Amino acid sequence: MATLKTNTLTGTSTAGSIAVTGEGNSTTTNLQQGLCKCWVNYTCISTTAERDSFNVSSLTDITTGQTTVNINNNMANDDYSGYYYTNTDSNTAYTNFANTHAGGFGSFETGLFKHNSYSSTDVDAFQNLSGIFGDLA
Amino acid sequence: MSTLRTNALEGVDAKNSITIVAGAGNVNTTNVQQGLVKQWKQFDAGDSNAIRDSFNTASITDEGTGEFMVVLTSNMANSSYCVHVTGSTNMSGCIDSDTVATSQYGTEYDEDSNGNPADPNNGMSSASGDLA
Repeated sequence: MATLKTNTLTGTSTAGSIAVTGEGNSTTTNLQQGLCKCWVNYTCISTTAERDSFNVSSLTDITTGQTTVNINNNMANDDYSGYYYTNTDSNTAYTNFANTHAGGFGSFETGLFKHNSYSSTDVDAFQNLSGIFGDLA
Repeated sequence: MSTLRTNALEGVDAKNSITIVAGAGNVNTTNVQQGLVKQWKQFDAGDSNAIRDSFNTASITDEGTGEFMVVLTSNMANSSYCVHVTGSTNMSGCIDSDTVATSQYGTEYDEDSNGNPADPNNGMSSASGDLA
């Protein structure tokens, strides 16, 4: 086993692009494109507060069931992809996740994105799990 | 601070496996390849299914209201990979498990709590797993 010690990785031809050999050894993927650029686990019960996060500067409580996630280091554009899961309930059990619960991204900006936690109406939820993929600025 | 400049990374013992120290205690390692998502996209079903931005996404095929096939550029090694699907406001998303293949996967977006299929303005999905 060889160990390389470094603090920073930068592409040679393009600083923001490094190829990585894939699991099957026949294809490469891209390191930067594959990294999650921002993720957060937060609650909206009592107060809107993050439990843990990466590249999130703050959360803003818009109104019941709606939250803005403010990004620390901005994205390059507002066309990024992401995921958001919510239990749309104040309870914690996994049984509170059900097909009737929905959540989505309300809007995208380079420096923020908005969630709504919805179950017939917007609901403050105990579990809100989200991350985004795309081009960092 | 040290900076490594390179265009490509591959493992020494196995080209397809690189470990990186990532634990909070600076001891535990994770795997670079396994931790990378292999595909992501955002598209607008209300604009002829235009892909706004993507990675490793060849195309999106309209399979019916709320149903879209995501075709990969570089295939996955098997059909056991993990997929996230998320839609616009008040929508939920899920994978169509009957359609998952190494080259593509089906997605479905449902509207609000009725569960009726609907076309998303912001249709997002990503795939994690083993690249071919």
